[in-house]
Order: sequence, then structure tokens, then C-alpha cells
Amino acid sequence: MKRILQCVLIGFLLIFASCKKDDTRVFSESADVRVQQALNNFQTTLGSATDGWIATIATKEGGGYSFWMQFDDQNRVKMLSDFDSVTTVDVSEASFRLKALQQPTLIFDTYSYIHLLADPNGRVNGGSNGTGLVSDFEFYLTDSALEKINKDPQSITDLNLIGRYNETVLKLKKATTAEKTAYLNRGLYSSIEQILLYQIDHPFVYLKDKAGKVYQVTADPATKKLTLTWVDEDKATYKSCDFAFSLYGMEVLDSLAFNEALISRITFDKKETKLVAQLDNGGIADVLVSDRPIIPAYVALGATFSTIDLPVGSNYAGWSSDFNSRFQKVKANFVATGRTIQNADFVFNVDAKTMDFVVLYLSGTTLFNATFSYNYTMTNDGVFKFNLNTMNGNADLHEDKFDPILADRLNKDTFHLDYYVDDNNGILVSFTSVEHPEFVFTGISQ
Amino acid sequence: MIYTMKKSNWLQIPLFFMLGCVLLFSCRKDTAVDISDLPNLGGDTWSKNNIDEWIHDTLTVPFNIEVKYKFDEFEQSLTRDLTPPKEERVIPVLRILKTVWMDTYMENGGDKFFKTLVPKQIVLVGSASYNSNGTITIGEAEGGKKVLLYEINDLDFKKRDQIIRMMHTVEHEFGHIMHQNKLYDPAFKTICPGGDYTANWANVSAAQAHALGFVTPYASSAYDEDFVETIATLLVEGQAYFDHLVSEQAADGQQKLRAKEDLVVEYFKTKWDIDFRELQKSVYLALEEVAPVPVVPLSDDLSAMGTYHTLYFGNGDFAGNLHGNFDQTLGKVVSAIHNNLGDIADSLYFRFKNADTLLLHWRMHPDDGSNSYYLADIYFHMNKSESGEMKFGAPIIFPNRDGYNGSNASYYKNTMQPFFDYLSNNTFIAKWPNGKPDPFAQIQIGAIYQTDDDASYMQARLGY
Repeated sequence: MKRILQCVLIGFLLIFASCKKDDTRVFSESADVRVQQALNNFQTTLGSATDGWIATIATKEGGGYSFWMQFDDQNRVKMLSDFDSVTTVDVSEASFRLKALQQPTLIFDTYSYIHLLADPNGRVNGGSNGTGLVSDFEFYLTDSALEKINKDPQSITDLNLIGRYNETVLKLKKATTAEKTAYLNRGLYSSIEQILLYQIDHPFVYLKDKAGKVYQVTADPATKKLTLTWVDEDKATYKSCDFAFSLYGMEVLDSLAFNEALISRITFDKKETKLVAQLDNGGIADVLVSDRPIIPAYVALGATFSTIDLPVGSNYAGWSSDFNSRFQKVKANFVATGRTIQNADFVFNVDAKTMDFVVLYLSGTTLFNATFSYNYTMTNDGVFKFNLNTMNGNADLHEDKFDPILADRLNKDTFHLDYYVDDNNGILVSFTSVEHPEFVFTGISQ
Repeated sequence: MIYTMKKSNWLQIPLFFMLGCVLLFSCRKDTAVDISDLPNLGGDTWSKNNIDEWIHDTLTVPFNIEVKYKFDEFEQSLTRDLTPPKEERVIPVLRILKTVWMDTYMENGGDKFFKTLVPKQIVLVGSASYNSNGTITIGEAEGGKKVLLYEINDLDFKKRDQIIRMMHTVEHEFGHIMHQNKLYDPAFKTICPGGDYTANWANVSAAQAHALGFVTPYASSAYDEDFVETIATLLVEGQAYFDHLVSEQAADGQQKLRAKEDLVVEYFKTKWDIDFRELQKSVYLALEEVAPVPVVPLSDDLSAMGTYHTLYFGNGDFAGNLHGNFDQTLGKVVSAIHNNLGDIADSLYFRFKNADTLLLHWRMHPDDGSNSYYLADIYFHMNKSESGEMKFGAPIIFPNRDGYNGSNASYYKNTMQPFFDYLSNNTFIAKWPNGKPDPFAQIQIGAIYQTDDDASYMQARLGY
């Protein structure tokens, strides 16, 4: 009987405790209502930009892109993009919708310019088949952004959305009326055109920091990558980031450090016809112009080029008369035995510190190869000393024919490697003998 | 409690009574769950535009079909990079679907048949679906309810092969729905030995599959796939394509392909009361409407480089096929061979095996009931102009090189001379009798006209 009472008592306790009838909500509204409210606020925010939004997206594989987007309350979005010359001027109209997935989500749900980046057909965007440039067209609101939107949906001027599939970030910024007018009047096209034309005229531009260190600036419009290259401990070092074109120039989409700040934009100064870098701390820095690469030739060797092709003509741009006459003698030595030099290359291997002087010559109708293999040393300021190591059979056979330039000069002297700028032939690489400054020759870097 | 029951029975009554009371009263809830405001119940909503209206009027109301063209990640693979379709492509694609697939089945199978079986959801995807092995998926169906069509953005509506590819997918998937409702004759599964079916179909070449009696490599993946691939090929690629494919196989492959064709035709008749041949015609005409076949003129197609190399009369079927000057010359030669030499012309082949040569290959048999026969080969040098007009030189016979075929030719030459003269003195051109090939014919008929006389022509079968 005691046990029965115990059982019953425990039963009562359990049942009463478990059936607490308390329907008080933690939140004032049901989850469904709050979700709908969030979506409505999201729509209000997007629609509140009567001049549209300026958006950027940094794809995972294909650089950065910019957009102008205007959302209405009928699920339609108008768009321009810096993707190509058509998308900069032809406004596309497509559909979008807001949907509560795990978070309030903006879905661009029929094809528009933003899908060009994510299209898995590599022919559309130059990316890999199956993934394209690895981008997104469904974006969700982060909790913090949602909080702000719920507080005052009208006042939002900046909004960051995260891609649901590839987690790319879509950064939205409200456009001004002037910006919208510019976008609708080919402003983006003109801005891009200006920079591309400037690049053609000024292939070598750089930044100089407070310490006097120089950084070569390269903006590749095909890959949408902005690269700074500088010399660090006698090695070429670089850092790249995504950029997108805007009405103002090039917007840097992730961090690129310079002068203890980050570069946020490179803009075109129309008055002065120059590029200016704007920094995130409010500072600015002029982008300077050079007639030759900023990275010294001896540092760039092995990085941007490793072969120097010696033209087999005469009096080539940058050749000293001493070199010219010696080289003509070498050629004549060959002609005297019924052979002609076709091609001559200096082939460097910077890892192994070797240089092969490879000469191709015709004997009758057959092409032969004479190779002189050197080891070399290089000082920190780019002075080379070449030491002949081995010769192949043909080189051995014809060694004396090369005496005027090899035995008398290349094998004995030390050399400065530098750029030589020629109006007709572009940027050449020059060798100047330290011991015989009158012995100078140039070649084409490859 | 088991313990108490063992002890004494009377104790159970108040115990259960009490527990019952507690249970009944403790969990009573007065407030009903508020269901008046459940946002988004009933799916996505958006402002409708003309595409939505078109879909509603054309597909949803008559067929109860939902078309999803707006991106919805849950309708497709969650792990693939896909894009939504371009809006301007949605209606044209659906229109093709309706013309080629829906309307033709409605016409031949009837309302009830089609509306019962039609998949209830069509999902359009802009890009292809890229598989990890480098291939792409262009269509999928799920359990007879849903059809996914990919690559809508890349589709070129002017290119027939692309339309064919898409429609093949649709007919394939619809074929599955049909046989899932009414199974085909199990005899179909015995046509090809089980060992010829392979999961490794992607590594089977088209030629290998055809030789084994499959219309496509994919058909060799399973019985059901084989069945629906046969349907889709016969409907979309068409009878002429199928016939050509069959004719290129060895006897074994031919027999298997024809057996499958027969079972498909019979399946439609007995299970669904649909005349498959009529359905084929409807699909053909619909495809002609949306993407007409470019017709290759027979003057190009009957040549060393063309589809056909031979125009031939078999079994002495000259009667009714020779007109005007052809009747006056070739017709009279055939009679003269019989009347003067006592031989019957069985067959005559005009063979265009080389770009600059015509071979007339005759087969005669003596009119005495014996089994012997004689072959005769006569060559003509041929000059073909850009526009396809043919001029022939004098007859050439190689009595030594060609053995009996040559010496027989010499024997018949004088009797045949009037036709040879006719060939050598005029220009000719090959034409399709009705302007284009007959899509349903197992054997195509071609014609050769005297260029300057439309009344003088001969028509005969085309061979390979």
C-alpha cells in the first residue's frame, strides 16, 4: 500500500510539473509574423534607395565586379555592371525576391548581370566549367544587419550581404542622384575607358611610401586584380587583391596595405591627368609614372623573364659600337666557314644560378646548336660574373669564333643588368661591362 | 505497477481511476492554436508579369502544370553551380515543348490520356548541370511528377539539333511515366541479352551500341532506359534517322532494332490505343514547324560525298518509273534486251562512288527459268557542275580488268547504245521527287531529270 501511494504521488508530481500551461511568448509576435516583418523591412530598405545601390562583389576565382542596382516593390531589379562593355551601358531588368530561408535572403531569381559571374559555363565568364568565377546570386542578411534594418529600414545606407552558396560578400551602398544619372549616361563606361587608355600610355606606374620605397602598381582589367610589386631583400615580392571599376576609378575590394593604411580606391584625376590612390585613413598618394619597370631588371630576372634574346642583326637599339663591331666579327667568322648564325639566347635559371648562351646556326640546310653553359654569381646591386662551365660539342668546335665577345669580354668581365627603353622596340634588357664600359649590348626579354 | 497487480486485484480500480482523472484534467488546453496568420503558407509569391500569365493560361489551367522558372535551390541539386534562366527564353522554350510534345500527344492520345500522365511540374534551369566526370546533364525527371530542363540560356532556337536534343529528353522522360503506369511487353527485355546492358554506358560508343541493337549508348544502361530511348529516338530524331541507323548495322543489329521498334508501336496501340505512326507524323510536323530540317538537295546528297551513293531499280521495277526520254531510251533498251537477246533485266544500279565517275551495274537473267545470271559494268566519265548538273562522256568498258562483268558489258553494248547516247548527249540533275526526303519512308526514292526537260525523268530507290 505504501508503495502504491508512493507511485501515485510521484505520478502526480510528474504530471503536474510537466503540464505547465504557460503560453506567454518570449517575443511579442509569433516567429512567422516576425519573419514576415523582417522581410518587409528588408524590402523597405532595398526600395528606399530611389537612386539605387552601388554594389561590389569579390568573386572567389575571378576578381572583383561592381554593379548599380535599383529594386522596386514589384520584384523587379534593374542593373548595370562593369562585367563587359555591354553591361556597363545596357540596363538589364530581371526578377528578385526576398525569402525567409534560414535567414532573410535576397534571391536574384531570373538571369541578370550578377549571374554572369556564377554561370558554370566557362565560356560566359572565363572561369572553369562547372563553377564559373565562383560567385553567388542568393544572399542572406547577417544578424547584425538584420537588427539595423529592423530598427530603421529607411535609414540604412550601407549593407553587407553574404552569399549562401559560395559565401562571397555583396556590399551595397546607396547611390546619390548624381551617381544614378552618371550610371544611366554611360558614366561607368567612360570611367573604365579613361583608365584603360591611361594604362596604355603609362604601362609603368608606381607608388612611393614615406620611407622612399617604391611599389609597382599593376591593374589587370582581364583578371580584375590589382597588384603591388616591390623589392624585399633583393627578391620581387607582390600582393594582389580584387578590384572593380566604378564611376571614380578602381575600387579595392580587400586589404592592400600601403603607408600604414589600406588602399581603398585608385581614382583618375582629370585635371592633372594622373592616378591618385585614396587610403582608408583619409590620406592620398599620387601614382607616379615611370618609363620602365619599377622592379630592377636583376630582381625581375627569373620572375617576369628568364630569357634574353640577342637580335642577330647589326647596330640594334642600345648596342655600343664596340659591341657591334665585335659581334659582326663573330658573325663574319661563321660566314667564312659557310655557316650563318640564326638565333642567340641568354637563358637564365635563377634557382640553379646558371646561364646558357645558346646559339643556333645554319650549316647548309641543317640547324645546329652551340651551347655555352655558365655558372654565375650576382651581387646585391645586380652585378653579374659569369664563369664558363661546360660547352657542348658544337660550342667547343666553334669556340674561337666567339672570342671577340666571349673569351675577351663575357668570360672575363663583370656586368650590370638593367632596362633599356627604346621608342621602337619597347623595354629591352641591357648588359654593360663594368671593366669595359664601352661594351654594351641589349636583348629582348622573354 | 505490475508488482501491485500481482498482490491484489481490488487495488487496481481506485489507482487507475485516480490516474485517469489526473491525465484527463491536467492536460486540457483551452486556447486554440492561432492559425489565422501564417505568412508564406502556400509558397512563394511575387508580382505576376506576362510570363506568369502566359504560363497560367497556357499550361496551368488546361494541364495543371506548374512551371518554375525562378530560381529555387530546393527544386534542383543543392551541390551544383546552376543559374536561373533568362526571362526572354522561358516562353519560347515552353512553346516548343507545347507544340512538339503536349499538342501531339493531345492530338493522338486524347485529353484524358495526356492530362492524367503529364508531369505536374516543369523546372527550367538556365545553365547546364556539370557532372564531375566532365559530362553535363541536360534533363532529369523525378518519379513522373517533375521534369527538369537545363541549359535554357544556351539553347539556340534556330539550331534543330539543339531542339532535337531537348525534345529527346522530354519524350524520354514522358516515356518513363508511360511505362511506369502500364508496363511494356516483357518480350522487350529478351531482345538483347542481359549481358549487353551495362552501367558503364558512358564508355560505350554510339557505334558499339548500335551494333548491339541499341538506339543510343544510354539505351544500353537498363531495360527501361532502352525502351524509352527507343520511343524518344523514333519520335524526335524520326523514322528516317532510325531507318538509316538500322540499315548501317549487321543483320543481328538490324533485327534487334526492328524488333524493338515493333514492340514500341504495339505498346502504344495495345496499352494506350495510340497509333504510334500517326504520333510520329505529328511530332515530325511539329518539329518542322519550330525548327525545319535543312534539306540537302539530292544533287549533293546522291554523290560520292553524300548520304546516298546509288540510285537503283531492283526486281525489274522499271515500269511506271521511266518517263519521257528515259522511257524512250532506257525503257526501250530493257525491252530490246528481252526481245532480242532473251534476257530479263533484274536490276540496274546507277552508282556514284567517285566524284567523276558513274557506274551502270546491270544484272540480267536468261528468260528460261534457269538460276544463272549475268552482271555487266559500264562506266561513264562524269562532269558535275557547281549547281549539280551532270554531263557524261562515252561509255567505257574494261573487258580485261572487270572479267565477266566487262565482257558481258561488251556483249550488251550495242543493244544498250541508244540509252548510252542519250546519257552522253544531255545534261542531268538529281532531285527529290517531292522536294525533300520522305521522313517516314524506310527507303527513300530519288529522281534523275534531264535538265532541260521536266517531263523526262526516272525515279528509283536510293541506296548507300
